[in-house]
Amino acid sequence: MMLVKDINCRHAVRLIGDYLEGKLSRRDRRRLEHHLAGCDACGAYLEQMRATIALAGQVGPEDLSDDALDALLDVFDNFQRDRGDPGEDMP
Amino acid sequence: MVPIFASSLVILPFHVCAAIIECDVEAPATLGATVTSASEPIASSGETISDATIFLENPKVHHSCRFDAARRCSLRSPATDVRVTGNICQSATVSEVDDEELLQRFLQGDRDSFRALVQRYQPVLLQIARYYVNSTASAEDVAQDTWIAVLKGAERFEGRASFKTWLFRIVANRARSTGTREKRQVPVDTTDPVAGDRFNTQGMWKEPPVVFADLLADTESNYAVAAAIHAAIADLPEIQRSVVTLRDVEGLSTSEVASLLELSEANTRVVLHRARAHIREVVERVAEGGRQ
Ligand SMILES: [Zn+2]
Repeated sequence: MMLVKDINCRHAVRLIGDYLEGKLSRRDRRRLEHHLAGCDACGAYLEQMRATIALAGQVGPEDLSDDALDALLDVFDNFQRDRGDPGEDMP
Repeated sequence: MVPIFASSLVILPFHVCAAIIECDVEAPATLGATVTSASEPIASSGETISDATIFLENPKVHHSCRFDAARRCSLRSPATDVRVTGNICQSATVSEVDDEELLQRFLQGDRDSFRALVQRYQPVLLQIARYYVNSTASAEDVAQDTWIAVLKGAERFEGRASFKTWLFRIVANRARSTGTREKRQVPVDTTDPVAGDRFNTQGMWKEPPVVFADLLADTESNYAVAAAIHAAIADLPEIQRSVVTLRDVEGLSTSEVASLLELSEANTRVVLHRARAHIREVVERVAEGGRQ
């Protein structure tokens, strides 16, 4: 088995970004996983990052103001009206 | 080697997921949202029910959901425009009509379906447009033009990509061709994603990070966390906000994000990690505040 060079937590944290995206080199991944296997604190950090990503995926869109919404509904209404107009051909 | 941390991710009961609430429900008739009790439908579209225990189906609700300290729940899924308010017993989800279905419906002239798509996507369209243009007003113009393009082109939408992908490409192309801003440069960023003072001179954590799952189990912290995440994202520099919104909030792949924003994938990942680390820090602050 290949010897894995130890890295410290600070270094591990830097690698976790690409690790989460599945983009670490094989060597870096081995070093990180080796570190994680012995370091609960970095394990907690990784869990925090995963939870953060999951949480960000759960926030909804910002609320739209009524004015903004009405303006776009007007666009829809105009479009419908024009489309319903038999004198006008669709391009 | 088995990835030993894979199982450490706990899915958080963040808002309301697959469960039961006591509430009032209103759903517009046109969307035909289904609201069902555990056994049978108790409200069909357009009806309002009060003080009923209902069971709303669908695992995918996370659109818009607020809690306040009195544990009142107001939950809205823009895709269906179902509104739920009431006391939470456990939690709930609201069924969601998918984008492609909404598209088909508004093609038939259904205004509510168009409204639902606008509510769902206008904020992110503005975000993408703002990335390319230099004022909020031009971003609004670009977003409006995008909806016009959608209305005109919807019949030609062939479903090869998702509606969302199609929509985002339209807005990015339009914003780009408006071109009122110079191409963005990714700042060379050599700082650590975590503040240096969290580590000792050997580069080890002074205090280990807290595990979020333990702290987010209750509704009040969920509310605080949701608000904090919104604020944290709003706070980010434009480029980070765009990347994290598209990648994590909208769930696009890194390569899709890179292409929409004209960044390299490597730069996209750097920016993404930076943004995520900032949000993580904010959530951590909320989590630790909740512990005191
Ligand atoms: Zn460590």
